[in-house]
Amino acid sequence: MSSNHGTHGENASQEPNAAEDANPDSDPIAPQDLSSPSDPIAFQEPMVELVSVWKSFGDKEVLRGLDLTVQEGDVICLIGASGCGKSTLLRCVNLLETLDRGSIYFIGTEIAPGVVNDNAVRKRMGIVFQSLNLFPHLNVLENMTLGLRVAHRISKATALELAKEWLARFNLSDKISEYPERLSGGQQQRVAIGRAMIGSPDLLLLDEVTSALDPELVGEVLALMKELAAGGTTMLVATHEMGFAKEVASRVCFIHGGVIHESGRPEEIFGSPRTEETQRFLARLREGGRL
Amino acid sequence: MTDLTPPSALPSIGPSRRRNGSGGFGGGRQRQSSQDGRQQSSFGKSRPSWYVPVVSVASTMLVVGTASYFIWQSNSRQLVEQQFFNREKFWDSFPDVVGGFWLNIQMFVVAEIAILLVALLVAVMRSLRGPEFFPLRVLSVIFIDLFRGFPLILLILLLGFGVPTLGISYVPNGVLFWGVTALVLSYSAYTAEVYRSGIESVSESQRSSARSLGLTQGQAMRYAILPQAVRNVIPALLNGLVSLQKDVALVSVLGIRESVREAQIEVARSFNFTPYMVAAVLFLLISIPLARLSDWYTKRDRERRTQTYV
Repeated sequence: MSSNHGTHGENASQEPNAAEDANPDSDPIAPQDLSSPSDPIAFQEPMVELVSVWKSFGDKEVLRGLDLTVQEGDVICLIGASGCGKSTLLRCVNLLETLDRGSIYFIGTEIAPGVVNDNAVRKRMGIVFQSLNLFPHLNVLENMTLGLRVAHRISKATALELAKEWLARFNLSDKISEYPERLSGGQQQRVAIGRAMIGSPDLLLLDEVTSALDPELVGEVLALMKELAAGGTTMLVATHEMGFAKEVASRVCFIHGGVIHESGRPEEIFGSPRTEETQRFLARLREGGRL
Repeated sequence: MTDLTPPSALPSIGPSRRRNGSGGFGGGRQRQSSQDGRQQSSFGKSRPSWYVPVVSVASTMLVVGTASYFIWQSNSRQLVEQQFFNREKFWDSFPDVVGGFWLNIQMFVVAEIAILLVALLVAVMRSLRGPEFFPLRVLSVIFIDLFRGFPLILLILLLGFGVPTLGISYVPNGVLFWGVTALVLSYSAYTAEVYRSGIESVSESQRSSARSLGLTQGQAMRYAILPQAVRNVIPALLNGLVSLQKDVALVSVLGIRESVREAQIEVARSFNFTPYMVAAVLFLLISIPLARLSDWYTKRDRERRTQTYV
């Protein structure tokens, strides 16, 4: 699919979407934005803005001019087939990958690996991966506080206090001195999410955090994600959990062909998808019993 | 030492032979007879419980017995005993060789510490990412290629005899110093590759996790990657330790009076090879426990890794 199509899909959503307005280099009332139903009163600098992002690995073009805007408080669910670029997108935002073309803005500043201070950016984001997040040689407390102590240079006592606070919130207080191998997969992911949240990031990136878990462990992690979403955490979530997307997402983005092929509120995407590809993707999910 | 003969070996094996009532190869024949009534299985005969101990004892007896028999029967046994296991010469040369061995141990300990540090530095240099670290990566590759490519003995001769002749004022000029340095350089090149394999065995997502917490490349290495990498390669490092413990003897070519050199001097004086056996025994006293330690750790490590998640 062309990138134009994707952009169209995004603009057509009913959200007050200030995607183009917020580009700091362009005029906020540029003429090309007339089609967008953005409300000037609701204008707010986006948390993250991806502008025509291209990324390929070898011959495989994963992202092909993808645009995306995340406002503060948004819970954006990225859905799409495996290998469609959801993870790559999150890794690009966290500066773990270098873009081929395009730009990413984080709270108004263009970020790119090596151009800005990567670590300063990462300290303000939290990311949790599919699996193997925790350091096996460190216990839960050490896992939780490593970033605080080393990157944020927070004192041991303060870090301990914060860790205890978060573990209590996640019902993991009794696991504070356990090593990851002694925890269930669900507990491990909850600790990983706690570790990502402990530095009070502006944005939480979750990359299919439940897909490596046994089915009975998915619930506890999703419940935690819902709680964080309800608490106003800005989240960008790559997920196969359509139930979560339906219930919690403020916007669902279907990634196809390296762009956001269609995006909208969950009820729009799941209820009345406009494009054939989205319909086909959802039909496949229904066949697999995942929707 | 002098008594490697069958009479000492036989009595310990004897009782089990009597207990089982069927010595040597009898086990095989008995298994085939149907008198133990274990043949109902459709897979054919199952092995009775005494099969494993009896067969292992019998086969050991056969091998040890045969070897001992030939040594015992040999016409030159007296001569071998005289030349290699001479009790008198053994104790005569013992103090000097042990004195030399103390130097071996000192060299071994100093060299091992230096090797572990230098190799770690080289391995970390080689694993750094980013264009700014290109020169360091190249340097470490050159270091490894060079010092792993030389025969160790050549390196020892080259540095041990060569460098002191330069009379450089700001480095030590001792033969001992350069002999040990040659050991350190050669072993560091190998050990760096061991470390590197450990670093590469740590999954990429661990690096991503550490970096995503805002840790710099160096911090991620220090706090997340290296602790796991080193743990992964401890068996290989222990193996290198055993190997180094013996190879320190190579500096004897420089005339350093460590145990092998001392033994050599004694041998030259008396034309009896027992002093070499003294040195051999001393080396075994260290290397066998080290080998067992390595086995034990490797086994424990494997068990720890195969533990299933809760």
